[in-house]
Amino acid sequence: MRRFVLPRDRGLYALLGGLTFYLVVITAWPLGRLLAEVFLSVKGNPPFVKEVLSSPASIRALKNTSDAAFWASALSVLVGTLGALLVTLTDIRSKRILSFLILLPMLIPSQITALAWKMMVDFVSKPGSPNPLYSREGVILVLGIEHSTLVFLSVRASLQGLSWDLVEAARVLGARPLRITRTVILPLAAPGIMAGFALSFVAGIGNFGVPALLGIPGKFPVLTTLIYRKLNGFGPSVLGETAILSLVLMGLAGLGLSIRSIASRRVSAAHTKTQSNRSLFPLGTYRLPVDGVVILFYLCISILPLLSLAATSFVPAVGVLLTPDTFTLGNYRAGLSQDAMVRAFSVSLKLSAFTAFLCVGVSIPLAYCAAIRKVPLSHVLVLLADAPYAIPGIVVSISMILAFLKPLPLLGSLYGTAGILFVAYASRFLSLALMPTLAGAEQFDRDLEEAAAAVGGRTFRRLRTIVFPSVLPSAFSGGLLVFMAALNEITVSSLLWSSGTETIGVMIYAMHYEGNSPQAAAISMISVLIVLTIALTISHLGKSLPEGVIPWRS
Amino acid sequence: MAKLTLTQVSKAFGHTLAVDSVTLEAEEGEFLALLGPSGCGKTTLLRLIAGFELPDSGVIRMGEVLYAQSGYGLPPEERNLGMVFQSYALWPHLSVFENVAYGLRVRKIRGTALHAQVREALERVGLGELHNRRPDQLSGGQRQRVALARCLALRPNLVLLDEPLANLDIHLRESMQTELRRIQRESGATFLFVTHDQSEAMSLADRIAVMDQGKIQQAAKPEELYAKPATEMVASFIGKGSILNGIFLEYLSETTGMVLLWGKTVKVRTPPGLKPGPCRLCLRSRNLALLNGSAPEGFSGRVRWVSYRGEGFLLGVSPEGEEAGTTELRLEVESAPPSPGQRVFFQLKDGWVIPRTP
Repeated sequence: MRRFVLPRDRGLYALLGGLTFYLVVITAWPLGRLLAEVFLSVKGNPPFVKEVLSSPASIRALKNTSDAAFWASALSVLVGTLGALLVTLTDIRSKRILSFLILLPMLIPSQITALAWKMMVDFVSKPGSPNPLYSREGVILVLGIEHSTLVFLSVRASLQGLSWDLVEAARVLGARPLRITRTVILPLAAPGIMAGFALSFVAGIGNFGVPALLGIPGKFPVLTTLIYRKLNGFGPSVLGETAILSLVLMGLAGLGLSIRSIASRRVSAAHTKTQSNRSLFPLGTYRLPVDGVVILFYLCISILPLLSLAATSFVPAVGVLLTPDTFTLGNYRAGLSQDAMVRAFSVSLKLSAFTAFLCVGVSIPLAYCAAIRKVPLSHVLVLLADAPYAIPGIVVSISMILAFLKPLPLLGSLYGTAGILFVAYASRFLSLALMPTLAGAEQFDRDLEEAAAAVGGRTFRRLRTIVFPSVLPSAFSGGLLVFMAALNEITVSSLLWSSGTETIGVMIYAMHYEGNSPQAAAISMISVLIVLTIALTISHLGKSLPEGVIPWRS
Repeated sequence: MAKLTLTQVSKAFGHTLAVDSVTLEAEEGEFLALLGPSGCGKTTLLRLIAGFELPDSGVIRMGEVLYAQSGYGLPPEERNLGMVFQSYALWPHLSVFENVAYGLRVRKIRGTALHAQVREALERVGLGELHNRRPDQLSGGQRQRVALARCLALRPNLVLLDEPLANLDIHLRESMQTELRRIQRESGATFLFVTHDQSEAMSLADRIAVMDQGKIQQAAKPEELYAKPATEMVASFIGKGSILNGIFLEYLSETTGMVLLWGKTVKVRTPPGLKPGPCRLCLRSRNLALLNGSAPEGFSGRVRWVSYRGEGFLLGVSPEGEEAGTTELRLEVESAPPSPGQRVFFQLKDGWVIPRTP
């Protein structure tokens, strides 16, 4: 049915103009600037490009990046797919607890996960010996666990959409659950698994927290840490070089993203939205042991590292066992009494709050144009808004430096101020606020708006009085997601911070780097608690939100 | 003797009783339809027989094999039955051949035996040529046949069909009905067929079990369901009968009796065991006939509406008498219908006293 289309009024044009200008400034221009930089060096100075690309350090970092991301994704697929199969197909007990355990790594920032794993291993390894996680294997292990959640979500969505008749038809023919899983379920879930692998791969090559904490001391450089060390060591003079490296990184990400889009286009006839009662695979006599082993496994990879982190935060030095005698709150007191730390909390909290507000404020009109008014141009804008989150964060940082290093009229140079962090965050995290807002706007009944137009309400009035209130709950939870991500951000801020604008992530890394692990653990614990509180708030709000708003719920 | 027997089977989901102490039998080689409005529990009953649900109480047996008993259930994969799903449930990643071969491979049949049996099953449903195709390259009717071939390849004694014709268009549905009947006869298997379409059930089944609110209302041959509905639900669900209040007076023979209706006595068919007193009477539209002109020996009524039905006209008539204005009867006339508002006389040619009053 063709719907009545509101006339393209002036208000809508103003809205689109504003959004386009905003996205060009914070996203299109910086990314374009990066491309131009690389293009100009390729054209103007080919020997330089060749030198950068053929230097042993670059080649080593490129090899390590693809190697670590590939094997970490393989591990993610193993852990994530297994979890998704158990939760969606079997009558395993305590599915809620299990889902929570599987999803937990996604909520914890990667530098804290890396720190927690390192501390867990510290507890069991001999004092004095080098930590075995400071290695290629350590990076792969922690990245793989961290990103298994992405595979879990992708495979779970794929399995939940699977027409259950296809499984029951195989059971009637006499096939046992394991055979059905092998011959029917896995082939049909393959696009979901492949998409999960690609997502995990893209996340892996762009990850900074894990290779920074485990790879740098382990002499396992990857592209993100190479770029970081170059820029930190030599400053903006090596911008040209890092721009080329970051474009290589983007090429790898592009590879992963195209695999993902091919995979998600292969949604087959096997998928349906309507689901009747599902007859799950009975674990039967194995139910108790399977329950135990599975819960234990996911406790080991999700909770135990966090417990080690907590334990370390309460002892005076690394390796000291936590007992009533050694228990101390000193790390928290010392950590929080540092001026720099207090400032970092203030910087991160303010930046996250402002970014969340701005992203929600932009998401609502953008979702209105794209999902409610369905203006053709708006799809380009949505693509532009999503791009900085899809590509590696370090690429965003480089493009921000390139774009905002030179003084702007009226504002001056943003580089070296909190301003550049704010712009970078607004660009990188807009997608997090936009996705739930779009999902909420899709549910919006257009009749409501047309009714308001029929009695003479203009675009801005309708947006304010009709659309805004009904999309706000979804946009608000998107805002919380932005806040959560920005608060513990490290990839972008590690390149853009300056004295006085350190973020929490930068401080945790610095403390750990200086050897003050117990204090780093204490600050991490505070961070984790804030994040978990927000996640619980979102989950609680989520009960009344439309489908697709909360990323970890299905 | 592989006879399917359900004894006092019940299944509740939360507080709703989806299947309410159902007792039902299907003879070997019988084509039994399970008919009822949506939400009546017929699909749940089918899933109980297939083993996808476990009964809360009751016993399900297939011949000697115990399928389910409260708390115990043979897993579906060990029940050795065939099932055709409403969606056909063909695996999109496998060819037609592999779809049909799946169950045979599970039973470790390989090589030439496998090929021969797949070919035979496909030929039985009239699809010899298409074994290399993928399911998405087939038409709806062809998918239906592949789904049938897939379950027939294992030569099951019992085949469950969940609304198998619902997704086909009307012309295809009629030809598939004939096919289904032929395939069932040739295979000699018991077919249990769930449908909400009574004409489909009537034309296909040896016997129909009508289900409503989790209970089997009546299980009988199609003509018996129509002529002698056991409950008011069956009377109104099958062939849209009108149900009227009357007073049963006395038996005339074992199968007929006198009933007082709107002040006049009429002769109707009766079930055994009635006692004189109020009763419920089921009238079909063709049980009533218009009388010419004013005929005081008949009933009188006013025409409310006239609707053209191709072969004749259907009249809505409200009778004049005790229940005036509350009842509407339907009459069939072949030509020259009276106009709305006109007073007409009609007589009762036949009727049936519904045995149980709920």
